[in-house]
Amino acid sequence: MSNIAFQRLQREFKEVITNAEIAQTGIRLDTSDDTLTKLKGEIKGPPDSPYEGGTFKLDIIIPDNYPFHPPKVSFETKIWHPNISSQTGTICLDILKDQWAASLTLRTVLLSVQSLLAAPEPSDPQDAVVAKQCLTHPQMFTETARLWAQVCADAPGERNSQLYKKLTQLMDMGVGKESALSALSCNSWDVSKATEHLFS
Amino acid sequence: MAAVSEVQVTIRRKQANAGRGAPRSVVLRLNEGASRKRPDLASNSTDQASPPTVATVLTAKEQLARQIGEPVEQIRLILAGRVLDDSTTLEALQLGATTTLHAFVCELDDGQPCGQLRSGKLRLRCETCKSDAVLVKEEPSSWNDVLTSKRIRIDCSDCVSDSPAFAEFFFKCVLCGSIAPPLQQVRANTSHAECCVCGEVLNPAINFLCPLSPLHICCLDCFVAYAGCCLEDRRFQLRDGAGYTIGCPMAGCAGMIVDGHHFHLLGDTHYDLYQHQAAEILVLGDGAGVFCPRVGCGAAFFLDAVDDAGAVNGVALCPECGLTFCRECHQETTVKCQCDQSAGRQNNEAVGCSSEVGADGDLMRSLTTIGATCKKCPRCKVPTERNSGCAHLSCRQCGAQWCWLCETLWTDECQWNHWFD
Repeated sequence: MSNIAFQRLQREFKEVITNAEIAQTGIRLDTSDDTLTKLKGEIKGPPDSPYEGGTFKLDIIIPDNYPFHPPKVSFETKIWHPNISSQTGTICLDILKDQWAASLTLRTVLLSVQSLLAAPEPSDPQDAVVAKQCLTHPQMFTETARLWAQVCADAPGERNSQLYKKLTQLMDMGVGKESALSALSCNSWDVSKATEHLFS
Repeated sequence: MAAVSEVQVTIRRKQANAGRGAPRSVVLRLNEGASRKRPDLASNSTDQASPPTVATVLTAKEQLARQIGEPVEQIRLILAGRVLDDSTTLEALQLGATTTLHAFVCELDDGQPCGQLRSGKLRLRCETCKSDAVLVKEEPSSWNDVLTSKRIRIDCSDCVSDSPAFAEFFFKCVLCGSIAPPLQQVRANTSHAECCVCGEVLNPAINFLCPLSPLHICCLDCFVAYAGCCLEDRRFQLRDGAGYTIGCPMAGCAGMIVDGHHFHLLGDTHYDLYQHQAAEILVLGDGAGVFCPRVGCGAAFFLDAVDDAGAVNGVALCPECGLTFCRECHQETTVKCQCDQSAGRQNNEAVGCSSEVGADGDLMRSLTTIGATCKKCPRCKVPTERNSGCAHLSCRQCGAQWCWLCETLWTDECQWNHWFD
């Protein structure tokens, strides 16, 4: 890692850790090794969104020529969102690609990801299945996204009993929690289709 | 005016790494080098090997060199802002008792560019005849008056023509004296703004002339790292009024480097690369240019300008490395390429064209791998690998925005429809 990158990251860490205002926005930053190349981020699901109150963990990889190249950021916590891959956690966000600027920081990145949760852009999708559902069945999208946040990100609130029942049904067959969620969500909560999808 | 025997000299030292040292003063005894003009002192100077008959600037320099113990060739004498010529007689200078001469001890040869970022001295001369014997008719009132030509009128004593004469301003390095372009975006950080990359408050700093804020600055180290990185990534862009350049590192700011001379700060190797890329972008910008597909060459050139004969077989010849390749699919070939005959042509397979390179096993395997993992940019045909992200690609070579799925330039339809095909 270059000197500039190391200096910058030290500064950014100090900013996120010491600034009370930043802590209030529900943003956290942690190291996962000594080299500062692999970091862990955390954001709270924004209010008035299906993700409200959830705690979402992010993997952050710092490239050698940071801050001239953007950090690679992806969701470690599973999430149902049109601009985030429900399979891999990859985020489609312009500032993480060609709109990156050296003046942007990990704090601004995490804030942008947080506001992406509040305002999905299904017309520029990362996950086509989610985006299609978001556009054609907005109600089902909201319910699905909320349940994912409750099951995977500890979001509070009463779970949609209808959907949760279907989920437990699959889990009782021995299917993992996340696979079951994914199979049901991708098949419009049709249990038989989801089962077929899982076992074929 | 009566000749003076002593004159005050202020001596400064110029060093490559230390800039100017603190001045010191000595009294220069002018009469010792020109003794024969002064019969009363003639007896004291008979040991001089060949004393000059007339006191000149050179004899004064020699005397000063003996007094301060510096090599005479490193001494420059200055009077009224001009370096004195060795052959000028002291008499012609009309030195008075209160005159102070300035001397510089220069470790560097004058006129040899030192290649460093230094302060500059603003100088002017006649735009027409380059004489510096000029009188300005009006003082410049802004940097525009200085940096734009034909703004300040002068009276030039050496110009023969009657047409109005204008001042030509230029900058000389304080260290080595060479004429050098001013870097007007390297400025004193008087507002103590933080570098927008590293956050340090450093001086001087690069100012991107941002319309949003005068506080968008970048320290020199970060600028060099930033511009170097952009160059290696080919993220420079052609911008109106500024050429091939980079913008302010602040997100969404329209500020930029408006004068390519600033990229000299990156060092010679990167500056050469900068010029090379700028020329290539210019070539490609006209639509008729191509890039040589050989790894490590990548020269840009116009097809028709270099190779009319090759057009018969549809083969192009790189003027830089001599590679011959198919004009259509850009695969290396020496014979007419078969790529246009394979139905539903697969750009990403090394079809037909690779017959000539089959002998080289490694190259063949490389081509196979490239064929299997890459697709070609629809504009410049460079093989491109997508290692992550969505289907919207931005070509690092030519800047084209294209769709990984339909292999055409990016459209709104790609943005949306392809996801569901």
